[in-house]
Amino acid sequence: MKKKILIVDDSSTIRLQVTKVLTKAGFDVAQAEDGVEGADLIDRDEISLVLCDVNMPRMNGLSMLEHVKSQARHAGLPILMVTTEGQSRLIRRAKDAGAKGWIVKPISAEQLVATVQKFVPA
Amino acid sequence: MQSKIVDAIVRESVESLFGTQGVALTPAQSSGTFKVVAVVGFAGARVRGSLGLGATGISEDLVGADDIEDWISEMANQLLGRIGNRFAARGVEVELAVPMVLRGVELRVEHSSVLLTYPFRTNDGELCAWIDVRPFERLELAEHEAMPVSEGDVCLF
Repeated sequence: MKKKILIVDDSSTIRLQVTKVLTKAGFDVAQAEDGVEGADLIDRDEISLVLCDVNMPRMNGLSMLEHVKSQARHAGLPILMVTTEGQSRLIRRAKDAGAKGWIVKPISAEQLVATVQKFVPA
Repeated sequence: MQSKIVDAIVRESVESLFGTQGVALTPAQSSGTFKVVAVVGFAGARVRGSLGLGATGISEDLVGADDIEDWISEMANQLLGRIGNRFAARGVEVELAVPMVLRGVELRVEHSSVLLTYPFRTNDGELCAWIDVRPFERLELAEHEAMPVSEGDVCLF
């Protein structure tokens, strides 16, 4: 069975780009538009890895990360933050909350696939 | 705030961002009217302001997006992210708001002394960025320091 990657981003452009790249690399991809939808999908679906934007309406990525990681059953779920921002304070907050990485957009397709495969072999 | 430094940061950020998107930019005079505009606010302890990005005639083939409004919103977000990272490297941290997009037949940007504008011609029309930076008090940007991470970086914990 294919591993499922969840992309949480309010931009349909980014969701589409990431979905195309990861589907081609052999993954199933689920999409969420914000942290509320993302957290819901994580609860309901078999997700192997999450790529999560930071700046989103309703619930931002860092709040979603903290919410998800506050639940013991999601302790092992790798979450990578994918954002335009690179401020140390935000990176520290993500690391402290249990994120496995911080990716600054834009990222090449090859780099994205290689990074995902470090956590989830296709 | 030293406007020459801000000017250099914004110009370099616009050119590098659209370079990664395959959008060729040529500096040009702005007509000042656009069909789609994205605006993002920002604020920090020392400064606040907004960034706008307007476009006419961006081809869907060129940008590879089904939704031009979403594309320009994401571009404005990425542009302000780049600028914010460069401000942070000079000691000025800002937080970004969620972008807002306006669409119309002819959206007009009124030029003023507080706006820095960056008009470009593309193969399909016009693209213009503008930024309004308002410090709460006299603000000096520090010497440039290395950014903790920059665009395209993957930092694993």
